Amino acid sequence: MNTIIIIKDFGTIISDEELGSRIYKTISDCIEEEGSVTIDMQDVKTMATFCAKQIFGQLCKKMGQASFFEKVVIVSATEQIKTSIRVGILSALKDN
Amino acid sequence: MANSPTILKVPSRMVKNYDDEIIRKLGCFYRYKQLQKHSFYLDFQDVVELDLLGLLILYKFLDYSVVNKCFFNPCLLNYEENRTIRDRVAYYGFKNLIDDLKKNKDSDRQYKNLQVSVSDDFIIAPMALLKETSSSDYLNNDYSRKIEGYYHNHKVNAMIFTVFSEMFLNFWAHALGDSKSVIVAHGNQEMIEIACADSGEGVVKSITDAFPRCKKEDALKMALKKDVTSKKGSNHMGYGLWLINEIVTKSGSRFLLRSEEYCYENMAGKTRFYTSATWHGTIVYVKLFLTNPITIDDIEKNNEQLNDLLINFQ
Repeated sequence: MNTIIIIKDFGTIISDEELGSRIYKTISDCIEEEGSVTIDMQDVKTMATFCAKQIFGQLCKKMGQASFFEKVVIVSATEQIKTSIRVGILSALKDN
Repeated sequence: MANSPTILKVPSRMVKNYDDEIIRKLGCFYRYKQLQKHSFYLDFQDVVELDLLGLLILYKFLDYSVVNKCFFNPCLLNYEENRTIRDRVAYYGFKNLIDDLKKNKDSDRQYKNLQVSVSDDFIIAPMALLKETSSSDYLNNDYSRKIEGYYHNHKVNAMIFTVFSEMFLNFWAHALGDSKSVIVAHGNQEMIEIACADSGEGVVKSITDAFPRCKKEDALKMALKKDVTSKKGSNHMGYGLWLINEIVTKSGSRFLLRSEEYCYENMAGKTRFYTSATWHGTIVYVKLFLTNPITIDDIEKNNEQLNDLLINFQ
Protein backbone atom coordinates (compact mmCIF):
# COMPACT_ATOMS: atom_id res chain seq x y z
CA MET A 1 0.00 0.00 0.00
CA ASN A 2 1.34 3.40 -0.94
CA THR A 3 0.42 5.88 1.77
CA ILE A 4 -0.40 9.46 0.76
CA ILE A 5 0.78 12.14 3.14
CA ILE A 6 -1.21 15.34 2.73
CA ILE A 7 1.03 18.26 3.59
CA LYS A 8 -1.78 20.83 3.92
CA ASP A 9 -2.91 18.90 7.00
CA PHE A 10 0.25 20.27 8.62
CA GLY A 11 -0.21 23.77 7.20
CA THR A 12 -0.26 25.60 3.89
CA ILE A 13 2.77 27.70 4.73
CA ILE A 14 5.72 25.59 5.73
CA SER A 15 8.20 27.96 7.23
CA ASP A 16 9.52 26.89 10.58
CA GLU A 17 11.86 24.29 11.91
CA GLU A 18 9.45 22.62 14.31
CA LEU A 19 6.84 22.06 11.60
CA GLY A 20 9.50 20.88 9.17
CA SER A 21 10.73 18.40 11.73
CA ARG A 22 7.23 16.95 12.20
CA ILE A 23 6.75 16.54 8.46
CA TYR A 24 10.18 14.96 8.05
CA LYS A 25 9.46 12.43 10.78
CA THR A 26 6.05 11.52 9.37
CA ILE A 27 7.48 10.90 5.89
CA SER A 28 10.55 9.10 7.18
CA ASP A 29 8.49 6.78 9.42
CA CYS A 30 6.17 6.02 6.53
CA ILE A 31 9.03 5.06 4.21
CA GLU A 32 10.55 2.85 6.89
CA GLU A 33 7.27 1.02 7.37
CA GLU A 34 6.05 0.82 3.80
CA GLY A 35 9.05 1.34 1.59
CA SER A 36 7.58 4.19 -0.45
CA VAL A 37 5.36 7.23 -0.08
CA THR A 38 3.33 9.76 -2.04
CA ILE A 39 3.43 13.32 -0.78
CA ASP A 40 0.52 15.51 -1.75
CA MET A 41 1.42 19.22 -1.91
CA GLN A 42 -2.05 20.40 -3.00
CA ASP A 43 -2.87 23.89 -1.62
CA VAL A 44 0.56 24.39 -0.07
CA LYS A 45 1.30 28.07 -0.72
CA THR A 46 4.95 28.25 0.15
CA MET A 47 7.75 26.22 1.63
CA ALA A 48 10.80 28.06 2.95
CA THR A 49 13.97 26.72 1.40
CA PHE A 50 15.21 25.89 4.91
CA CYS A 51 12.24 23.53 5.37
CA ALA A 52 12.68 22.06 1.88
CA LYS A 53 16.23 21.13 2.84
CA GLN A 54 15.17 19.95 6.28
CA ILE A 55 12.51 17.65 4.87
CA PHE A 56 13.36 16.59 1.32
CA GLY A 57 17.09 17.33 1.36
CA GLN A 58 17.69 15.26 4.47
CA LEU A 59 15.46 12.43 3.23
CA CYS A 60 17.31 12.31 -0.08
CA LYS A 61 20.65 12.30 1.72
CA LYS A 62 19.54 9.55 4.09
CA MET A 63 18.00 7.32 1.41
CA GLY A 64 20.49 8.02 -1.37
CA GLN A 65 19.45 9.82 -4.55
CA ALA A 66 18.40 6.77 -6.57
CA SER A 67 16.25 5.37 -3.81
CA PHE A 68 14.69 8.76 -3.05
CA PHE A 69 13.80 9.42 -6.68
CA GLU A 70 12.27 5.96 -6.95
CA LYS A 71 10.36 5.71 -3.68
CA VAL A 72 9.20 9.27 -3.03
CA VAL A 73 6.51 10.65 -5.34
CA ILE A 74 5.50 14.30 -4.96
CA VAL A 75 2.15 15.30 -6.42
CA SER A 76 0.31 18.58 -7.03
CA ALA A 77 3.23 20.85 -6.21
CA THR A 78 3.26 24.33 -7.75
CA GLU A 79 6.30 25.36 -9.80
CA GLN A 80 7.45 27.49 -6.85
CA ILE A 81 7.25 24.57 -4.43
CA LYS A 82 9.02 22.28 -6.90
CA THR A 83 11.89 24.76 -7.18
CA SER A 84 12.12 25.13 -3.39
CA ILE A 85 12.31 21.35 -3.05
CA ARG A 86 15.03 21.15 -5.73
CA VAL A 87 17.01 23.90 -3.98
CA GLY A 88 16.70 22.13 -0.61
CA ILE A 89 17.79 18.78 -2.01
CA LEU A 90 20.75 20.21 -3.93
CA SER A 91 21.97 22.05 -0.84
CA ALA A 92 21.76 18.90 1.31
CA LEU A 93 23.63 16.87 -1.31
CA LYS A 94 26.36 19.52 -1.50
CA ASP A 95 26.83 19.26 2.29
CA ASN A 96 28.27 15.79 1.81
CA MET B 1 25.06 65.77 35.98
CA ALA B 2 23.48 62.33 35.76
CA ASN B 3 19.98 63.57 36.58
CA SER B 4 19.85 66.87 34.74
CA PRO B 5 16.78 66.98 32.45
CA THR B 6 17.30 65.69 28.96
CA ILE B 7 14.84 66.56 26.22
CA LEU B 8 15.24 64.53 23.06
CA LYS B 9 13.34 65.79 20.05
CA VAL B 10 12.04 63.03 17.82
CA PRO B 11 12.95 63.79 14.18
CA SER B 12 10.24 65.45 12.11
CA ARG B 13 10.27 62.84 9.35
CA MET B 14 9.92 59.35 10.83
CA VAL B 15 9.95 57.70 7.42
CA LYS B 16 12.18 55.61 5.18
CA ASN B 17 14.93 57.63 3.53
CA TYR B 18 15.25 59.32 6.91
CA ASP B 19 15.87 56.09 8.82
CA ASP B 20 19.52 57.00 9.30
CA GLU B 21 18.61 60.26 11.04
CA ILE B 22 16.00 58.50 13.21
CA ILE B 23 18.48 55.86 14.37
CA ARG B 24 21.22 58.43 14.94
CA LYS B 25 18.92 60.52 17.11
CA LEU B 26 17.26 57.76 19.12
CA GLY B 27 20.51 55.79 19.25
CA CYS B 28 21.41 57.71 22.42
CA PHE B 29 19.05 55.23 24.19
CA TYR B 30 21.84 52.66 23.97
CA ARG B 31 24.04 54.81 26.22
CA TYR B 32 21.46 54.72 29.02
CA LYS B 33 21.26 50.93 29.32
CA GLN B 34 20.49 50.02 32.97
CA LEU B 35 21.12 53.63 34.09
CA GLN B 36 17.48 54.49 34.87
CA LYS B 37 18.14 58.07 34.01
CA HIS B 38 15.76 60.50 35.70
CA SER B 39 14.10 63.44 33.98
CA PHE B 40 14.14 62.11 30.46
CA TYR B 41 11.71 63.67 27.97
CA LEU B 42 11.01 62.42 24.48
CA ASP B 43 9.36 65.20 22.54
CA PHE B 44 7.12 64.43 19.55
CA GLN B 45 6.20 68.02 18.78
CA ASP B 46 8.12 68.23 15.49
CA VAL B 47 6.92 64.93 13.98
CA VAL B 48 5.05 65.58 10.74
CA GLU B 49 5.36 62.14 9.08
CA LEU B 50 5.43 58.58 10.32
CA ASP B 51 5.49 55.47 8.15
CA LEU B 52 5.83 51.74 8.72
CA LEU B 53 9.62 51.70 8.99
CA GLY B 54 9.73 54.80 11.19
CA LEU B 55 7.16 53.30 13.53
CA LEU B 56 8.98 49.98 13.71
CA ILE B 57 12.22 51.73 14.65
CA LEU B 58 10.43 53.91 17.21
CA TYR B 59 8.73 50.86 18.74
CA LYS B 60 11.99 48.93 19.00
CA PHE B 61 13.77 51.87 20.68
CA LEU B 62 10.92 52.37 23.18
CA ASP B 63 10.88 48.66 23.89
CA TYR B 64 14.66 48.65 24.30
CA SER B 65 14.45 51.49 26.81
CA VAL B 66 11.86 49.64 28.92
CA VAL B 67 13.53 46.23 28.78
CA ASN B 68 16.94 47.71 29.53
CA LYS B 69 15.71 50.14 32.20
CA CYS B 70 17.21 53.15 30.47
CA PHE B 71 14.96 55.74 32.07
CA PHE B 72 13.16 56.32 35.35
CA ASN B 73 9.60 57.51 34.67
CA PRO B 74 10.37 58.88 31.21
CA CYS B 75 7.94 61.41 29.81
CA LEU B 76 6.63 61.48 26.24
CA LEU B 77 5.94 65.13 25.44
CA ASN B 78 3.38 66.18 22.81
CA TYR B 79 2.53 62.60 21.88
CA GLU B 80 -1.20 62.88 22.54
CA GLU B 81 -1.26 66.39 21.13
CA ASN B 82 0.42 65.42 17.86
CA ARG B 83 -2.41 64.08 15.76
CA THR B 84 -0.13 62.85 12.97
CA ILE B 85 1.75 60.49 15.18
CA ARG B 86 -1.27 59.41 17.21
CA ASP B 87 -3.30 58.60 14.09
CA ARG B 88 -0.50 56.77 12.29
CA VAL B 89 0.33 54.66 15.34
CA ALA B 90 -3.35 53.63 15.53
CA TYR B 91 -3.49 53.07 11.75
CA TYR B 92 -0.63 50.58 11.85
CA GLY B 93 -2.22 48.71 14.77
CA PHE B 94 0.43 49.67 17.32
CA LYS B 95 -1.69 51.88 19.60
CA ASN B 96 -1.98 49.57 22.59
CA LEU B 97 1.61 48.49 22.28
CA ILE B 98 2.94 52.05 22.29
CA ASP B 99 0.50 53.04 25.06
CA ASP B 100 2.07 50.46 27.37
CA LEU B 101 5.58 51.52 26.45
CA LYS B 102 4.60 55.17 27.03
CA LYS B 103 3.88 54.19 30.61
CA ASN B 104 7.35 52.60 30.76
CA LYS B 105 5.51 49.29 31.10
CA ASP B 106 6.53 46.03 29.56
CA SER B 107 4.42 45.60 26.43
CA ASP B 108 4.26 41.82 26.60
CA ARG B 109 0.48 41.45 26.66
CA GLN B 110 -0.16 43.97 23.88
CA TYR B 111 2.70 42.53 21.86
CA LYS B 112 0.92 39.19 21.75
CA ASN B 113 -2.34 40.81 20.67
CA LEU B 114 -1.27 42.48 17.44
CA GLN B 115 -4.02 42.08 14.85
CA VAL B 116 -4.31 42.05 11.08
CA SER B 117 -6.69 44.62 9.63
CA VAL B 118 -8.05 44.72 6.11
CA SER B 119 -9.95 47.47 4.31
CA ASP B 120 -10.73 47.91 0.63
CA ASP B 121 -7.59 49.94 0.09
CA PHE B 122 -5.03 48.52 2.47
CA ILE B 123 -3.97 45.53 4.45
CA ILE B 124 -2.01 46.10 7.64
CA ALA B 125 -0.55 43.07 9.25
CA PRO B 126 1.66 43.39 12.33
CA MET B 127 2.74 40.13 13.89
CA ALA B 128 4.76 39.29 16.97
CA LEU B 129 7.43 36.65 16.54
CA LEU B 130 6.89 34.72 19.73
CA LYS B 131 9.65 32.28 20.50
CA GLU B 132 7.44 30.01 22.56
CA THR B 133 5.01 29.44 19.70
CA SER B 134 5.61 27.84 16.34
CA SER B 135 5.87 30.51 13.63
CA SER B 136 3.79 28.40 11.29
CA ASP B 137 0.92 28.49 13.76
CA TYR B 138 0.74 32.20 12.98
CA LEU B 139 1.27 32.06 9.28
CA ASN B 140 -1.22 29.25 8.88
CA ASN B 141 -4.03 31.03 10.66
CA ASP B 142 -5.92 34.17 9.87
CA TYR B 143 -2.81 36.02 8.90
CA SER B 144 -2.07 34.27 5.62
CA ARG B 145 -5.73 33.87 4.72
CA LYS B 146 -6.26 37.62 5.00
CA ILE B 147 -3.23 38.45 2.89
CA GLU B 148 -4.16 35.84 0.31
CA GLY B 149 -7.75 37.05 0.25
CA TYR B 150 -6.62 40.60 -0.37
CA TYR B 151 -4.28 39.74 -3.25
CA HIS B 152 -6.15 37.44 -5.61
CA ASN B 153 -3.35 36.94 -8.13
CA HIS B 154 -1.65 33.59 -7.60
CA LYS B 155 1.80 34.77 -8.66
CA VAL B 156 1.59 37.90 -6.53
CA ASN B 157 0.70 35.78 -3.53
CA ALA B 158 3.52 33.36 -4.32
CA MET B 159 6.04 36.22 -4.36
CA ILE B 160 4.71 37.75 -1.15
CA PHE B 161 4.65 34.46 0.74
CA THR B 162 8.13 33.50 -0.48
CA VAL B 163 9.58 36.77 0.82
CA PHE B 164 7.55 36.47 4.00
CA SER B 165 8.58 32.94 4.82
CA GLU B 166 12.28 33.51 4.06
CA MET B 167 12.31 36.69 6.19
CA PHE B 168 10.33 35.00 8.90
CA LEU B 169 12.56 31.97 9.15
CA ASN B 170 15.71 34.07 9.13
CA PHE B 171 14.49 36.29 11.93
CA TRP B 172 13.23 33.35 13.91
CA ALA B 173 16.62 31.68 13.76
CA HIS B 174 18.88 34.70 14.03
CA ALA B 175 17.13 37.13 16.39
CA LEU B 176 19.10 35.79 19.34
CA GLY B 177 18.70 37.73 22.54
CA ASP B 178 15.54 39.51 21.40
CA SER B 179 12.18 38.31 22.61
CA LYS B 180 10.14 40.98 20.86
CA SER B 181 10.75 40.90 17.15
CA VAL B 182 7.87 42.15 15.04
CA ILE B 183 7.17 41.60 11.39
CA VAL B 184 4.80 44.07 9.76
CA ALA B 185 3.23 44.11 6.34
CA HIS B 186 1.39 47.05 4.84
CA GLY B 187 0.10 47.06 1.33
CA ASN B 188 -2.37 47.97 -1.35
CA GLN B 189 -3.02 46.50 -4.79
CA GLU B 190 0.14 48.09 -6.25
CA MET B 191 2.70 47.27 -3.57
CA ILE B 192 3.34 45.65 -0.23
CA GLU B 193 5.94 46.67 2.35
CA ILE B 194 7.25 44.01 4.71
CA ALA B 195 9.52 45.07 7.53
CA CYS B 196 11.10 43.29 10.44
CA ALA B 197 13.35 44.66 13.14
CA ASP B 198 15.08 43.00 16.04
CA SER B 199 17.52 44.09 18.66
CA GLY B 200 19.22 40.71 18.86
CA GLU B 201 22.65 39.63 17.78
CA GLY B 202 22.43 40.92 14.22
CA VAL B 203 23.60 39.71 10.83
CA VAL B 204 27.02 41.38 11.00
CA LYS B 205 27.95 39.67 14.27
CA SER B 206 26.60 36.27 13.13
CA ILE B 207 28.67 36.43 9.96
CA THR B 208 31.89 37.71 11.54
CA ASP B 209 31.62 35.11 14.33
CA ALA B 210 31.24 32.33 11.75
CA PHE B 211 33.89 33.73 9.39
CA PRO B 212 36.58 35.32 11.56
CA ARG B 213 38.53 36.49 8.50
CA CYS B 214 35.55 38.44 7.21
CA LYS B 215 35.84 42.13 8.03
CA LYS B 216 32.76 43.72 9.58
CA GLU B 217 32.42 46.07 6.61
CA ASP B 218 32.20 43.06 4.28
CA ALA B 219 29.72 41.09 6.40
CA LEU B 220 26.54 42.25 4.65
CA LYS B 221 28.06 41.55 1.25
CA MET B 222 28.87 38.06 2.50
CA ALA B 223 25.37 37.57 3.97
CA LEU B 224 23.81 38.35 0.60
CA LYS B 225 25.91 35.79 -1.28
CA LYS B 226 24.29 32.54 -2.30
CA ASP B 227 25.35 29.51 -0.25
CA VAL B 228 26.98 31.55 2.53
CA THR B 229 25.54 30.79 5.95
CA SER B 230 26.70 31.52 9.47
CA LYS B 231 25.14 28.20 10.49
CA LYS B 232 27.14 25.72 8.47
CA GLY B 233 26.24 22.06 8.92
CA SER B 234 22.60 22.92 9.66
CA ASN B 235 19.58 23.16 7.39
CA HIS B 236 20.39 26.83 6.85
CA MET B 237 22.00 27.25 3.49
CA GLY B 238 22.64 30.92 2.88
CA TYR B 239 19.81 31.25 0.43
CA GLY B 240 17.04 33.38 1.98
CA LEU B 241 18.62 36.84 1.83
CA TRP B 242 20.11 36.10 -1.58
CA LEU B 243 16.68 35.05 -2.86
CA ILE B 244 14.95 38.15 -1.47
CA ASN B 245 17.62 40.31 -3.09
CA GLU B 246 17.14 38.58 -6.46
CA ILE B 247 13.35 38.93 -6.30
CA VAL B 248 13.71 42.63 -5.48
CA THR B 249 16.12 43.20 -8.38
CA LYS B 250 14.01 41.39 -10.95
CA SER B 251 10.66 42.80 -9.85
CA GLY B 252 11.96 46.38 -9.69
CA SER B 253 11.33 46.56 -5.96
CA ARG B 254 13.25 47.87 -2.96
CA PHE B 255 15.28 46.20 -0.21
CA LEU B 256 17.03 47.68 2.80
CA LEU B 257 19.21 45.68 5.19
CA ARG B 258 20.81 47.24 8.27
CA SER B 259 22.93 45.75 10.99
CA GLU B 260 25.20 47.65 13.37
CA GLU B 261 26.53 50.61 11.35
CA TYR B 262 26.40 48.78 8.03
CA CYS B 263 23.65 49.11 5.44
CA TYR B 264 22.76 47.70 2.09
CA GLU B 265 20.17 49.10 -0.27
CA ASN B 266 18.80 47.68 -3.49
CA MET B 267 16.50 49.89 -5.53
CA ALA B 268 15.33 47.93 -8.57
CA GLY B 269 18.79 46.46 -9.06
CA LYS B 270 20.73 49.62 -8.26
CA THR B 271 22.65 48.60 -5.18
CA ARG B 272 24.94 50.24 -2.65
CA PHE B 273 26.66 49.42 0.61
CA TYR B 274 27.22 52.26 3.04
CA THR B 275 27.83 53.02 6.70
CA SER B 276 25.34 54.76 8.88
CA ALA B 277 24.13 55.20 12.46
CA THR B 278 24.43 52.07 14.58
CA TRP B 279 21.47 49.73 14.98
CA HIS B 280 21.97 46.99 17.57
CA GLY B 281 20.43 44.05 15.73
CA THR B 282 19.03 43.75 12.22
CA ILE B 283 16.43 45.60 10.19
CA VAL B 284 15.07 44.16 6.97
CA TYR B 285 12.68 46.26 4.89
CA VAL B 286 11.28 45.11 1.56
CA LYS B 287 8.88 47.04 -0.65
CA LEU B 288 7.58 44.77 -3.38
CA PHE B 289 5.94 46.26 -6.43
CA LEU B 290 3.29 43.88 -7.65
CA THR B 291 2.96 44.65 -11.35
CA ASN B 292 5.77 42.24 -12.29
CA PRO B 293 5.71 39.47 -9.69
CA ILE B 294 8.80 37.26 -9.58
CA THR B 295 8.99 33.88 -7.89
CA ILE B 296 11.72 31.42 -7.01
CA ASP B 297 11.15 29.41 -10.20
CA ASP B 298 11.71 32.55 -12.31
CA ILE B 299 15.01 33.06 -10.52
CA GLU B 300 16.21 29.46 -10.83
CA LYS B 301 14.72 28.39 -14.16
CA ASN B 302 18.12 28.21 -15.89
CA ASN B 303 19.91 26.48 -13.05
CA GLU B 304 20.96 23.23 -14.69
CA GLN B 305 22.08 21.62 -11.45
CA LEU B 306 18.53 21.95 -10.14
CA ASN B 307 16.91 20.81 -13.36
CA ASP B 308 19.15 17.73 -13.45
CA LEU B 309 17.65 16.35 -10.24
CA LEU B 310 15.32 13.52 -11.23
CA ILE B 311 12.72 14.13 -8.57
CA ASN B 312 9.51 12.20 -9.13
CA PHE B 313 7.05 15.09 -9.48
CA GLN B 314 3.66 14.06 -10.78
